[in-house]
Amino acid sequence: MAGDANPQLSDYSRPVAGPGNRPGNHDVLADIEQCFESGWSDGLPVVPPYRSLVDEMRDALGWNDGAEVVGAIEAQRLEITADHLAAAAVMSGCKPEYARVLRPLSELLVDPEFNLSGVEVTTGGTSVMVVVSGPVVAELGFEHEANAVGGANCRVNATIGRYAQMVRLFCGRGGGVLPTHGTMGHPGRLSFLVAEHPDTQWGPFHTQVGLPAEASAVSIMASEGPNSVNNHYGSAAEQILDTIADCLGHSGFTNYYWHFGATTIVVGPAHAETIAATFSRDEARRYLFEHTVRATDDLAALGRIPPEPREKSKVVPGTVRSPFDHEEQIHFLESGAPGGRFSAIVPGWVGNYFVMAKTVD
Amino acid sequence: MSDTRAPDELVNPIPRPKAGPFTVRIQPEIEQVVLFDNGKPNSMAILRRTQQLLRERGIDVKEEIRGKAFAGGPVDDQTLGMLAQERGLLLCGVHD
Repeated sequence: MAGDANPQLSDYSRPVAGPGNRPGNHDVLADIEQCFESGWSDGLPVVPPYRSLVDEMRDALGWNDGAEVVGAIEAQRLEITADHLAAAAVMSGCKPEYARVLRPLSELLVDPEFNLSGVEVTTGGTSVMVVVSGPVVAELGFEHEANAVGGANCRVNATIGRYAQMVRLFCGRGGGVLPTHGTMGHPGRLSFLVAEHPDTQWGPFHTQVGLPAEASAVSIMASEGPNSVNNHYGSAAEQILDTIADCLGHSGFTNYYWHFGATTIVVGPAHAETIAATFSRDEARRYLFEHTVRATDDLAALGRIPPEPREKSKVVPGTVRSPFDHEEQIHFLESGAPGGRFSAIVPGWVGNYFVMAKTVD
Repeated sequence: MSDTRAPDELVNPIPRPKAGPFTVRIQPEIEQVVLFDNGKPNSMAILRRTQQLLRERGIDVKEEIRGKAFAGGPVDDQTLGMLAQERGLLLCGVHD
């Protein structure tokens, strides 16, 4: 819109002549630039959301009408329509065949429980971590081995992961009027998807949130950036879990004060084999919960607990303190390449307690 | 040869807010400061200190400091409605 100082609020909708329902004769480079200028970008070039492409994507997603309201952020008087979401899917480079994952993912993202706007604007600089698990991983060809923790150079991983961040960015700022306050941020704010191995030691990831083992599922968690955990020479489960607990329990871990938020441990195949030889998943979770602790007084002395803590954070001087209220805040995800003995932790954002999941048809 | 088929517009991916049911006054009606806590770890302590300092300078500050239930979530409609009734200068939240 001419004269609109905020590009996020611009209402760009320019008819472009084309040879058919594909953008063959469009000035695609100019349209990519126009998307940048209009604020319709995550910082990288996008596929221009031509009406023909958006309609095709919307059909694949199963929404008949572009104006259909899929979700709303009531406090901001914001309605998120099928067209908004289909456009973001096109822009992120997704294929229509990804719709079976994109549809339930979209519904999770706009669920008020997820608090999409909070995830976008928080000082925590968080992203949306997307987890795909079950048979759909092999069916759509997700990379679940090399560089699996958000870094796989694989289209289906990268574009669906990017889609989730685009929805966060485009829909989480109140239509462009809210600034984001992320202090640090992390690269996952551009794309962050982890696909689980089709065959796991402990059963699929989504069984930890109540979905059936035989299902395919997509899950989301508001997340900080991942941290690598290296243990190449420990051969006992306790050695691996103690190393993970040490990484998880460093004094800068956000959750030490708040006690909210889910955390996901991405267990590499070598570590998973070692741990699973001794522990069930529930036992491993309990072990981590019990061993990820620091002295409350040490945390307070470091300034990690405010001088006047709030009652709901349950600060008890003279005790040891876990960053978790209960062990169900810890989730295990089996992914990554064979060869190295690595795992990774992905701390959650303190604004969400949980991982949310839906089945994929 | 010219092309006569339908144009292929670009679809806006960004939802726009609909008009809200309330208006915002930009001038307080009375000379009073009203503090609102955003729920950050140390924010209430900072706001209480702010209240004390302002009062020492002769500024009327409302005793009650309302707050969000949780820092990571939005202000609920009921609280928003109550804040909208305030006639003083409303100061919301602090980072700490």
